[in-house]
Amino acid sequence: MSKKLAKKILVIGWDAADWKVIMPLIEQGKMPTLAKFMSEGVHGAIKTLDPPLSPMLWTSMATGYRADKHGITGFVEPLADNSGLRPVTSTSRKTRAIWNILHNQGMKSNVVSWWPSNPAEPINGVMVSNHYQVSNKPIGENWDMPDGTIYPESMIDILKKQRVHPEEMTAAHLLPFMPNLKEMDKNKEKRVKSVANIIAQAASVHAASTYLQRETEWDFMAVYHDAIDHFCHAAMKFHPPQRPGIPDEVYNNYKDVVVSGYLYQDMMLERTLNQLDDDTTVIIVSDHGFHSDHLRPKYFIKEPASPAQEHSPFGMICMRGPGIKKGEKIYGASVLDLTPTILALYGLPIGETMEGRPLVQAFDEEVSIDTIPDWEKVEGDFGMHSTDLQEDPWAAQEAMQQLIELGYIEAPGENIAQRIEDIKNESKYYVARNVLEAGKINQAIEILEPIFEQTQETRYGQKLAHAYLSTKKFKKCRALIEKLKEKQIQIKAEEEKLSEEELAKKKKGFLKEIELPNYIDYVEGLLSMNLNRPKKALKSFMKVAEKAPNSLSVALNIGKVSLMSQNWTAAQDSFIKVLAIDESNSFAHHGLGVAFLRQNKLEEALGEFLTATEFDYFYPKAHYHIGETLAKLEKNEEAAQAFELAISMSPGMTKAHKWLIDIYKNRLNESEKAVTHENFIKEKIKGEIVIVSGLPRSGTSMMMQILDKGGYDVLTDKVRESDTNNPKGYYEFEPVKKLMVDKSWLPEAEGKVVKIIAQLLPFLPSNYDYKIIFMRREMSEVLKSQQIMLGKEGDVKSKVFPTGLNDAFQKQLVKVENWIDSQPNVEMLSVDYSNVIANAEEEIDNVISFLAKPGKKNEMIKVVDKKLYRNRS
Amino acid sequence: MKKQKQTGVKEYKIPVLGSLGLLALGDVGLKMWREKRDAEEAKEKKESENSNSKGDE
Repeated sequence: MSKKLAKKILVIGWDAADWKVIMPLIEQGKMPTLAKFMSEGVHGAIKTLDPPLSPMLWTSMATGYRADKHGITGFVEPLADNSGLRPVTSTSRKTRAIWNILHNQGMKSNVVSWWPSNPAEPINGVMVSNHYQVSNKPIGENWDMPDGTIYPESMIDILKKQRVHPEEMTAAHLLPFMPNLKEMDKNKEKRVKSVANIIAQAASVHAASTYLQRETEWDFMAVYHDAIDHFCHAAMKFHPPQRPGIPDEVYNNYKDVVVSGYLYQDMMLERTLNQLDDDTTVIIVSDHGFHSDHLRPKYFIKEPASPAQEHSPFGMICMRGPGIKKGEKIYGASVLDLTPTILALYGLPIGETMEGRPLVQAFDEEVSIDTIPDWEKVEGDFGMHSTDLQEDPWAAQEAMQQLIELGYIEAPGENIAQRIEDIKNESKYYVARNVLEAGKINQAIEILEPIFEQTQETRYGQKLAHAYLSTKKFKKCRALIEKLKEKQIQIKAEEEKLSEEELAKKKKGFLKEIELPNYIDYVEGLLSMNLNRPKKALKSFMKVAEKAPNSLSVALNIGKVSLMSQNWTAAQDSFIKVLAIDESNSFAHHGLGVAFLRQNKLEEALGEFLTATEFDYFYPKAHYHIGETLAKLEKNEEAAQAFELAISMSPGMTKAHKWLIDIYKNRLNESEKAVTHENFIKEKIKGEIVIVSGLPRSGTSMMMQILDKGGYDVLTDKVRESDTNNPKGYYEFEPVKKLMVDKSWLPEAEGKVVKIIAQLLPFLPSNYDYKIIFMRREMSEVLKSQQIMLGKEGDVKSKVFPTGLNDAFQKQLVKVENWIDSQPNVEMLSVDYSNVIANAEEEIDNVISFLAKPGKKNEMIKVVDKKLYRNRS
Repeated sequence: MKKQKQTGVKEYKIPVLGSLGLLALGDVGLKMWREKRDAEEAKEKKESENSNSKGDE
């Protein structure tokens, strides 16, 4: 068993809490409790998951799993008999939460208002569900506590009294939020009611939790507050600075709501901490942030759960107490890390299937982390509901109403059956986004293809296009983009038929026109970037940037393509923009550094590279560039250290070895140190080989011929002669086929071009530098061409291909790409076969630029023979 | 395993209308405020009843 660092743990959830709002308040001394807490522990940003929807996120936090595993896939779910909808329930959770694991380990937990936790689970301890504090009835009417709100029932009477009704709120409670309250017409101001409601609900949760914290025995306690999120949704648009279009009167009425919400939360925190013993480790955490500055959306894109568009990707986390370092910052936390961190603090094993990791960087001593294969497979009592538990539908009604009022879901309306179908598809879409972000692209495609087919919903198509792109299914991506463009034309045509009044009604609150083309252009930009067309990609991204000037991913990609095109000032501008959105983005710091370096702005470049490594220390390229910058600044000793560090992380980084030879020999007069690197280069790095690769029948022979005619030295023995399948020759070199067992022929390839099929690339030794031109072609075309070559034309006609070949090739390609990405001595250029046929000149320009050696361009273009493009899909 | 300590409860003057500070004190603050508020309401009710009964005399 691992060492137990914490005896007791209290987790306080602050939905949507964001450092961007907190830090200025701390600097002004307005959140003294949190400020003290931070100085006594660690703090940092925490990355949310996509989509940033709270029930999914808080369940990921409590389980360590994403939505496809934990099963909470949105705000609402159909009733078991499909007769209606209800807010998501604890019975829909498919995995064990931290409190279930602790129950199994004989520990006692109090859980208050976690989302979703209704009906309360029969754990060892007390559970107060997330329906506890909700009331939509006037005071005086029966405010019952529905079954399932509290476990055990013996706690119902005492906790019932801790609930605060919104109508109990007085001017004394409301004035700090709305100083002009007395002049406002409260009957007309719906927001006043909302603010009172949020204050009362927070007070209910706080009263229940402070009571349980003090009056019960516990090992673990988790309290969830949604007040900050709800204050922000109600009034962030009025938060200073005043934005254009916000009238003075409304601004003055509500400008203090958000700040007062944070201050209220800080006051409640003071009480909670004052009640604690010194042996409790405390974690304060949010599930996502909330845009509070120029990034506040002016309009919502029309979609269900649209208020989530105000959420930002980084929340906050602070930890304090036994087992935790003091006064330090932590980096790289994810909401998936909470449960593994709690388990590690208790010295309990982490499930190997969990998708998060313990935040050991926060621990004040090094501990070994135990694991078990899967907590889900451990037998025993976990304090969970029996699988046949039926919830009383009445219990959910008030909570449903609240979700509708918050704008997270639409009222069911009359067509319940259609609404249920919509919700089911929407839930699948959320899961697809969740797994897409995790890199499980094929799983996302499997979910998205049928729901797009069924609904033709644009958003589903957009994500599907993105997924195709990620798996290099360029042709499918292109076809889908065209389909979405057609739909856009249809929508415009339909809108033209509407009267001005009807159109205004339809567009109220939404910038409909940015929804569709925005994303299509973005995916098109990514497609062009993948196909090595930076100029075309830039054009697409710029179109998106005009409409979505604050998009992080767009700015990041503009930066990337600007670097590819060596437009340093454009790259600089874009990366600065990214950093205004996410100051911790190490890629942007590195990219900005490269842009500065290439403009000879050395001090600025150094600052950016250092910051990149501060956020992501294991970043060999950034250390290399630190070395390059320092060398240019004549700080040779420090430069040598940086290059040595880069090499320690990535031993085959030839460029760093070459720099070190120069520095040790010519600048520091330490020739003996240079010898090591000279020997390395001599022994390990023998020279450069250009490789044309790809799956068989993906256009590799054509590329070999192009290079041959271009004047590049190709290595071929012409043993395999031309035939009808390759009338212009195979350009093969027989010994290549034995690469797995015999590498003795490689010196012959030095300085030349050789054809090697993709599957053999990982057998290349690391003592050469490789430039790989990787041919890509639609998989169906590759298979078709291979079948014909094998004499199986009958199969092609009947479109019968060997089962599983497609998947097997896809998997092999992913493996090869991962290998390429991990090799410091490999550079790769992707070339799409169909693009060579369609735009030969552009592709050949790219190839010549990649090889950094002039070729006979006109001769190369002449090789491309459109007649040979026979086996299209 | 032991119960949590109860510290940090300072002397407060309880306003009838309550305050955020009292809500922030959790169950204890809520109880104190409701007692004060209810007592005040009872007192007002009694005074009102008394004045009504005097008016009847």
